[in-house]
Amino acid sequence: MSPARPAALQRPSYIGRFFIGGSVVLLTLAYTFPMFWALSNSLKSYENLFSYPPTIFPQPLQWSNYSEAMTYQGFPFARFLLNTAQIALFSVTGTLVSSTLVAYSLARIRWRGRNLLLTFIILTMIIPGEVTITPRFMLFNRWGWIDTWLPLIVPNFFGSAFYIFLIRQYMMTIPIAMDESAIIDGANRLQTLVYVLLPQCRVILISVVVLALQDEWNAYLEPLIFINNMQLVPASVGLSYYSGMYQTQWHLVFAASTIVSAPIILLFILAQRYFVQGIVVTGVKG
Amino acid sequence: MHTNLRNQISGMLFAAPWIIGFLLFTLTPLAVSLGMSFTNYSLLSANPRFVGLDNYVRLTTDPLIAHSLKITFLYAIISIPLQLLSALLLAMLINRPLVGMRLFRTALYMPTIIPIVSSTLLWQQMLDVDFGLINYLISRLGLAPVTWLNQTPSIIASITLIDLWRIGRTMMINLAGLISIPTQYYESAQIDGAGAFSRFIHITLPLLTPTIFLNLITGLIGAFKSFATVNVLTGGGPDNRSLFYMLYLYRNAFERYRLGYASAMSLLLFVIVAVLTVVVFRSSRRWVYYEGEN
Repeated sequence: MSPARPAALQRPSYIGRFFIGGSVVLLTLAYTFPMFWALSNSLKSYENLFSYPPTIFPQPLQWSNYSEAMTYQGFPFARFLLNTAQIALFSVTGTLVSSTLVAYSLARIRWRGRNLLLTFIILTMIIPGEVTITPRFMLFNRWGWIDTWLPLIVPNFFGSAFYIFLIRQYMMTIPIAMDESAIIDGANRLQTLVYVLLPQCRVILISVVVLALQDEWNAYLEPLIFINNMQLVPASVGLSYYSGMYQTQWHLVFAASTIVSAPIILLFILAQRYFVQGIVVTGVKG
Repeated sequence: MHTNLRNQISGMLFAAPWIIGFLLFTLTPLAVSLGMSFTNYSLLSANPRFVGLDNYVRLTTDPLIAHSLKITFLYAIISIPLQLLSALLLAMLINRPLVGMRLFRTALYMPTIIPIVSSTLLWQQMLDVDFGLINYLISRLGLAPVTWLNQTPSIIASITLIDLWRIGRTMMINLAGLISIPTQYYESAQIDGAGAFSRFIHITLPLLTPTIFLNLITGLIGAFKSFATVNVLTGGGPDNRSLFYMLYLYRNAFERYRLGYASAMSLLLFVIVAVLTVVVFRSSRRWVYYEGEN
């Protein structure tokens, strides 16, 4: 993926390469160790978690933590997970469809005001959603949306500034000739977008799906505020219940955390080839 | 003539979702916020009353506002430069042609994938005074254990540590910036006899300033809106010692239901973020290098 470098740059001195290689390996170990540690902890008994010195490889492996975490009294964890999956399905679909439509308008259709709109969309990225969380709560309360998934799902159907920008940037790198001939052949705008442009945007669309799913798995403040009914809460908020317990059941926390993280990590590993490419091609320069 | 009009209509139609969404979920709430900030609106009392600038006056006298702002600024000043620096160094490292580099890139990015509540709980346990792994390692070095989650500075240090572990996204954006630098620049610099350090100062750094600028803006906004990590890690405690601004806003709005006051707090947050962004934008003329301008 990285462009070919001249011979002199490709081969620095052996000491230099040893130093760079060594730091990369050490850093990789340091960055991955906490994840390994979480996995190891998820297989320890409650007592074993508090042993001193800490055990790295638990003996025996207590697999029952996983089933216990899923069925723990008072915390319907399987329910939480299912909630996250459903909310994510709707939200990510909404974000993807709406952001693509807006990006298409900004990248391909010539109309007065489109550059102004693009600048404006980019500007709104500096307004954190946290600023409007209080009034949104009041509005949603008035609309009867509190304690439903609507506040978490519906806003995603109106496009997200960041994803609009990413998709637009990617579309700008695709030659317009094919679109134009499709239009001349009598295809309408929507057909051109779906059948001509989108297949060429696969890389960025996959990246957006991964990023949007990550947002869903991370969502914390909004579900915390908009949903009080424990049966409707997503896994992120559900997990935090474990830490609020009178005496934190750490072995279950780690098992539950691992279960929550597993699907998104798996997805990332599957999609990572596209993901890195998507970010790199899009770049960050307007 | 005809196509122009049709383009205008279809362009606006395709862009309509964002415009409607912005009006509904950003502009209306901002307006409501402004209106509410002049009332004593509360979920607990039935009819809100107009109180003029009372909420804004209280912002200046409430000691916890100054306190939480101080903590949040301190966190921003410590965390952001460290994040920018580490993201740059990591990106430069993983930009090297090395066997298995894709694996290393994935590994370094991986912590960002883990849901924030999960990773915060993990660090909470690793930072535990008595049983945590970090203190065990410290004690192996012969040093005294640290009560990480007890004092403002050590809590900020802990959160910064978690931030640095979760630096993947910023690192990738830097990597994208590095890859887009044309190799010819390096080639000709090398022919001129420029060393590695000189190439970094005269080529890499200037050409990467737009990327660093973007990361600085996102970092600033991220610092001022940070909530999840600290709320799970300490809940603002002990004794308000880690009461970040968003935590105090959350308490006022959703624990005490003082929505009028919380609206004023929201607008203050907005003003702070806007002012800082404008300052960074203005300064960018002096240090951000755009190709084609020079």
